[in-house]
Formats: sequence, structure tokens, C-alpha cells
Amino acid sequence: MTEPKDPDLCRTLGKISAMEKELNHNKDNINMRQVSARISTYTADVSGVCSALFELGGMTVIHDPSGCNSTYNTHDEPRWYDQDSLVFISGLTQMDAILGNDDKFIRDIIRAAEDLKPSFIALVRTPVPLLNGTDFEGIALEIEARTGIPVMYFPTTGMETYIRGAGMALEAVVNRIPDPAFHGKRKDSGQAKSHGEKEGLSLEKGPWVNILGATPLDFSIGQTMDSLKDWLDRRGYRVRSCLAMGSGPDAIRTAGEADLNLVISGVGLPAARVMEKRFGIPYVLGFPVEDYGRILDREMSSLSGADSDQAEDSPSDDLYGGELYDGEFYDSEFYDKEKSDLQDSNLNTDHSDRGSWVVIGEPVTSISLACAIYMRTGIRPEVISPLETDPEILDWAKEALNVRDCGEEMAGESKQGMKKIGAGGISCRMIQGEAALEEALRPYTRIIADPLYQPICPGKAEFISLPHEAFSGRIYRKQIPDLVHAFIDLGLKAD
Amino acid sequence: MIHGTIKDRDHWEDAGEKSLKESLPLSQALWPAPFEPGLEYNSPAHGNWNIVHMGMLLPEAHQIYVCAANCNRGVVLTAAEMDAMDRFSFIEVQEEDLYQGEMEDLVIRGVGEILDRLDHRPRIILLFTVCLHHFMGTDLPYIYESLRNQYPDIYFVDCYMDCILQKEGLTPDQKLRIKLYDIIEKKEVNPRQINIVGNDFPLSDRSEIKRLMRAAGWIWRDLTELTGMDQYLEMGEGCLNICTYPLGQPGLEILSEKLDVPGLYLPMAWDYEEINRQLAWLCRSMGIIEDDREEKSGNLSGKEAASGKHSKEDKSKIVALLNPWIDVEKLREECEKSLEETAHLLKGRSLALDASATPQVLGLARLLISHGMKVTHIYGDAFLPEEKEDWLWLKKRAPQIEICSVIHHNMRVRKRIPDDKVLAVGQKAAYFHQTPHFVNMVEGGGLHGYDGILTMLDRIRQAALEKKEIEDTIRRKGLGCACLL
Repeated sequence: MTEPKDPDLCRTLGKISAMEKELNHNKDNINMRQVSARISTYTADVSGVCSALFELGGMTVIHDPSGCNSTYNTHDEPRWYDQDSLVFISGLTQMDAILGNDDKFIRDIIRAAEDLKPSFIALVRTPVPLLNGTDFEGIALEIEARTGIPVMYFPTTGMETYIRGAGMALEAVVNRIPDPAFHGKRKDSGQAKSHGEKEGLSLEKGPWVNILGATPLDFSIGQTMDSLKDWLDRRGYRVRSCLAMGSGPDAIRTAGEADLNLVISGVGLPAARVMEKRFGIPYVLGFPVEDYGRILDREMSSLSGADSDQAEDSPSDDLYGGELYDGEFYDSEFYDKEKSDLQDSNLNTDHSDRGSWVVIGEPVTSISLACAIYMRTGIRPEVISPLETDPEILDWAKEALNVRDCGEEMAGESKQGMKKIGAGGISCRMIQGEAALEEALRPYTRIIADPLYQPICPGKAEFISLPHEAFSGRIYRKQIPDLVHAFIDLGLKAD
Repeated sequence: MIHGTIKDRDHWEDAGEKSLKESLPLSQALWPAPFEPGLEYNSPAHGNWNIVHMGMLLPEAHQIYVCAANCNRGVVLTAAEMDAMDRFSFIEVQEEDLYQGEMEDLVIRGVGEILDRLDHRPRIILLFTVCLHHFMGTDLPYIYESLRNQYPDIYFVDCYMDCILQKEGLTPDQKLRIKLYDIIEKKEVNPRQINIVGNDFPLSDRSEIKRLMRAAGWIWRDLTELTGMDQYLEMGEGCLNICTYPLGQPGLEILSEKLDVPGLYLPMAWDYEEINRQLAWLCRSMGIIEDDREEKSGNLSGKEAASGKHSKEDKSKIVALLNPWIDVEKLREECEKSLEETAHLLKGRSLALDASATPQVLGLARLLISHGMKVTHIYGDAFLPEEKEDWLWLKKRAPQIEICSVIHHNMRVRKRIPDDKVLAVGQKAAYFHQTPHFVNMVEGGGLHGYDGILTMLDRIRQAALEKKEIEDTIRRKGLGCACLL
């Protein structure tokens, strides 16, 4: 064993001596979830912050030596070429880090802010500033005082996923939007209300909805967001703002005037909680993937007071229509065969002769997709989330197929033998680490996941490619499906 | 960043407000770094190679990165875009690893697990540690010693992605160009073998260097052209090392010292006399022309030789000496003719040159301007020391040229008005001018000598006549590497 050359330095940094390490060595303490031999990694929190703030008119500064900006704009930011959002790195050097030369950091930011005049400044932490304890709060105060521009600090580590980074960014944004009660645009005082208790809002033209959790990391820049807005429009909802794609700062400032928040990814959940607390705006989790949109619509209408019967269904929204899909009709016989399964609300994967399915990915969209598959085929896929997943999302998954407040109505809509769809939910497990994932995937016969997961999938399983920008970056961007109408793109068949 | 950095802040303070701008006329620009560093922008032009691309050059090598997810994301997807995930693995550092004092165990056990999980046994592992390890004082020697003891059949190469040190020393890129030759051991010398080191692109087969080697019956070993590990290890038999790419120079020095053979730094030059001097130096080092000078630079080795010393001997004598091997006068005439044709074709069209296309961008500008072409912009944040003479020449003859930073924060919002009247050499110049007429080249593109001049002029003429799709071309990482995009 080689001793460190400079023991004083090692002691200063709190390094355990080589001898102590040998004595205290406990192999089980090492978490091999951190090891990946063959697959990719998810976008990290630093890029998550940048992505969430990209369209909001601010200037994001990553306090980093090099590389973060290139990684972000190459692999995590499809809007980089066309939109001149202000995202920079500080170019931190070793001597500045060691000597605590924050003056250069502050001076450079002020210099750029004077040139570029951003509406706010966001400071983003990376591993080295984390390690040396850079006083970002103090730096933020100083810059704000000297420029008059609001400064936000995001305590990212570079070691968490974008769910946390983008989540904290959107949370910070909604914490700063004005309370409409102060502008006479809402009658309520902004105190928290339970779902469905709102009052005093004009619904003449349909309820206003904020979309929370939209970043290209989960939805890329294809058709998905347009389809989502179209889906909302056809159901009489009006989009107040979309955090944070396609809505400018002006729209986002009015987000507090919305009647309902639709949380379409885990990224949006922290912001939804804040808005529920600040403005009493209820929220619904889920993304309207194919047939699941019907359940989501009913959930939304029950909270917003909208009349879901006004919805103008597109062919793919038809739950029971015996629709033509990939050359096959799903007829009543098929549904009758599955009826007993459907009425069984246990969360186990379907182990019928058509095999067991799993969806890997961002939990909210994956659970929504799994629900849609179940509703179309009767097969109940499981979901594996390799990302940090809020317990609330796991709880929601368990009930995702239940139709709140309108079970009778749904049953009354029976077509072609389908009697009921409200039936429990989807099993969603959080599994991280390549080895654990590979082990977990062994039983499945059909796997829906990003193509970069394929190396750890069992050879016997059918692999259905569902590219996810937050995992494979731009490689498969052109093949990312429109999630609202995902089935055809995914080539899903009923077997 | 290819070039060195200025450590003395007085450099910019003397320049006052001018150095704070993102572009300025050459007449007002400071040598060698015109722009005071600040927040840094990164353009969407990504054709330059990074350390992952370079590491893939090493036959049968597997790369393992030990870093935070945010750093890892860029390298893992570089490998994925190259369709080379079977040669790439990682160990992600988590926050608790910073405080537990078990970083060494994490790395050692992580590498073990990766080896268990791979379906092949790599002969070489390039194990990259990062800034964090540097700051934590991680016991890297212990890690490598343990791994080498545990897996004696595998070469473990210590590699570094420690970007925080790059402005005060070698960049990770330069360090890897050293480390890629780390396991070469001196063998019985082949008196007719040259090693070409430090480059990403093979030298053109038409280059005078390769023509000389072929004519003299020599062989060469070049990482960019190797077919396997055994051929790579044969580099230990070389009797002479050469390097044509500036970032490879530190690697040239170290390998030459290790093998105890001369190392010749022969960067691309856009000047005929400099090309002749380089070729003469090479020929003398090969022993194929007589060396009757008092100071025999061909006998220099290692650091001294790699510093690029060239004797200022009589020009006509060099031409005569080279003549039996290569007719440089004829090549010069070809270049002149090609320059004339190019100038005629361009008819005063504006040229924007980019240092990411060729490191010796000032020399290229000088060559083009001295032959009647109109260079209006040069993109680069700092310039090579050996280009000072060209800088001074340009300052006198073309002071109006606009020197443009590529990383200055204002470049993010600089107007990019599509202008196909501009012809760009390099991806970043093409991006900033939004011109479809551009030479798609990075890192010198393997050009050298007279052939390099002729090839560049061919490419300029081709770019003048043809359009390229800008975004789709420049967004691809590692020009010349496999790419799934």
C-alpha cells in the first residue's frame, strides 16, 4: 500500500489514513449501484436546473471549471441551437477554488449581467464548489445588491438526477410568481385548499390549467407537447402556462390564476405542492397517453369543475370502440377474456400466456403508459423507475386506474362487453444500479425502455424502444414518439 | 481550449476596456490572448475530439470514468454516440462518497465489478479520475497499485479528467496524449521505424512526411492507423518520434525521453521555408541526407528536440539537400498555382477562419492574404507561441481583421445572420456566420506540408462551390469518428 505523499494535506482534508482504511474496511458499505459497465446514466441535477429555466429569460451560471456547459448543450438541451438562452460556466480554476477567490466569480457575473440584462440570475453548484463549501447564499446576496437583479441559488451537487434539479428550479419559479389575490384576479386569499374546494373563478370558457414538469428531458422537442396542449384544448381546458416549455415569463407570472395543475412528470411535483399551498390550486398527476387520457380527463374535471363530456375525442381516445389498431380489432371477446383480470385490483404483473411487461423510465409518464397499455390490452405492465421517485407518485401509481367520483358513469358507458375499468393501479418500483436492474428485468417477456437499456435486457424478451432524452440524449431523438399517441410509434401489438 | 493561458492579470488591465469585448480589430488586440476571461459560452459546434474519442484510438482499451453524474453524462454519451458503449464503463461518485473516506475502495471494488460484468477481458483499462479526487487527496497510487496487483493481466493507465487544473497546467486532452503511450516499453530498436504521436487524424498519405518514409523504406506506427494491440506495442521499436499536432507535444517529449530517441515537433506550417526546414530536419534525423551543420538538431532528443528548434540555415541549400528525395520547388509551384486559382474563384469573397479547424490559423490567414484573398474574421481566444511572427505580420498588413472570441458571454447573443457570401474555415466560424459554405475540419485534419496547403485550398474551393447543412454537420461530436446521429 502506498502512503499519500503529503500527509498534512491528507489530514487537512479529513482523509483517513491508509492503515485506518484497512482496519475499518467494510465492503458492504460500498454501494455498487454506482457501477455501470454497459448502460448510460440519466441527466444530472445541474442540467436539470438549466433545462427548467431555459425559456424564462434569466441567466444561468454553472460554477464549474469546464465541461458542464458542453455536456448540457450537447446532450441535454435540444433548444440550444435555435434559442439564445443565457447559460454559462464560470470557468473555475484550481487556485480560485483553493483560495476562495469568489470575487472573480462575482465580478464575471456582474460583467455579463450588465451586458446581457437578464431578468434573473441563477447560480448552480457543482461538485468542487460543494466540496469547498462555496458561500453561494452570500454571493447571491452580493450580486443581487450590486445589480438589482433577482438571484436564485440552486444547491445542486452534480450527483443527483435532473428530476431533483429541474424540480427545485420550477419550485423556485412558482415560489416567486405573484399571488393573483393581490391583483384581484382571484377571490380566494391564496390559502391552501383541498382538491375541489376552489371558488370564485370564472369557468365560462373552461378551466385554466398549468402544465407542470415539462422539459425536453422527458418530452423532447417533437410533437408531444403540442399534442398535449391539443388534448387539453379539445377537452375545454385552456393552458395558462406550461412550466417550462413554450410559455414565456409573462404567461408564467399568471400561473397562480389557474384552476388546476397537471403534473406530467416527477419534475413538476414540487412546484405543484407549492402552488397548492400558496394559491390553493389542486393538481393531478399523469400524462394522457392514449386511452389513459380518459381517466386523466375525468380526474381533472372532478377537480376543476369542467364538463368532461364536452371532450371531442379523437380516434385514439376511444376506450371501447373496437378500434383498428395495427391491423387488429380489439373485440368484446378479448375484453371478456380479460374481464376477471380487470376486476382484480391486485398490482401483480399479468402472467398470462401473453407474458409480463415492464416499462422503464420517468415514473409519471411510464405509469401513464402502463395504464394505457392495460386499458387497451388487459395486460398490466409493471413500471421500474431508475430515478428518484417521490412516495406520492408511488402511491398514485397504486390508484392510477381507479376513476374517482365517476365510477358509475364509466360503468354506464360500457361498450362491447367492457364493464369496468376502475381497477387498482400499476406496480411501480424504484430500482437503481445496472446490476439490480438487470436482475429485475429477467422475468419479463416484453420490455419498453430507452434503447440504451437493451444491453442488460434478457435476450428472450421482446424489446420495444422508447427513447428518453434524459437517458440517451439526442441519439434517438427522431424516434421519440408523441406520447399522447404513443402506441403506433411504439409498435405495440396485442399479441 | 487549445492554447495556453495568461496568468498575469496585468496583461488585460493594461488593455483596459477593449479586452472586455467579444471581438475587436487585430490592430487593438493583445497578443497572445486578446480577451479577458469571464463567464464562458459553449457554441453548438462539437466537431473537436474529446478524451473519450481519443481513448478509443487505443486498441483493445476499455475506458472507466469515476466521476459525478453530471461529468459522467458527457463522456458516457460521447461513447454512446460513437456506438462504443461496449468499451466504456463508469463508477458514479455520490455525495456521501465525499465524506466517508472510502473513495479508494469504491474505485477498486467498482473496477472489479465492472470487470465481472463485462463479457470480455480488456487488455488495457484507461481509468479516469477527476477534479474531486484531486481536491479530496484521493490516494491514486494506492488505487492503481492495488488494481495492478489484483489484475496482473491488465494494463491500468492512470488518466485524468481534471478540468479544474487546465488553466494552470496541462489540459486533460494534453495529459491523455501523454498517457496513451504510457505502456509503450522500449524494445530492440528498428532503425527504420518512426512513431507518429499525439494526433487524432492520420497524416495524409500524400503528405511529404509519408512520401519520404515510403521512399526511404521506413515504416511508421501511428495510433490512428493501428490494427491492434501488438502493433501498438511495436511503437517501442521506433528510432524516431514525430508530432504534428500542438496538443501532442508534451506526449512527444515524454515518450521520446522514455524511449531515448529523438522527438521532432513538426507542426503544420503555412510557410514554404518552414516546411522545408521541417522536412530537412526530418531527413537528417532519419539519416537520409547529410548533416554537416555544427549543431545537429537531429541528435537532439526528448524535451530539447520537442521544443521545435530549427536551424536558420541557407534556404537554397535546404532545397538542394531535399531535392533527391522530394522536389520542393515543384510543390511550391503547385501551391502557388492553387493559391492563384483559389483567389480567382473567391473573387474577393470574405473568409472567416477558426482556430478549431487548424491550430496555426494565423499562418493560414497570412498565406491567404499574401495571395490576394480577403480574410475578415479570425475566431480564437488565444494563439500559439510559434505564431507570433504571423500575428505581427497580420497586424501590419491586415489590421482590420476582426479577432473574435468563441467563448465570450456576448457570443451567445451575437447576431447570426445567414450569410452565404462568407466562406468559413472551421465549424465555429460557419456557425457564427451561418454560412453553408464552409470547410468542415477540426484539429488540423491530418494536414501537413505542401500537401496540407494544397488540400486546404482544394477544400476551400470545394466549400465555395458547395453548400453543407450547418446544424446537422457541426453538432456531431468528434469529426471523423463513428456517429449514430
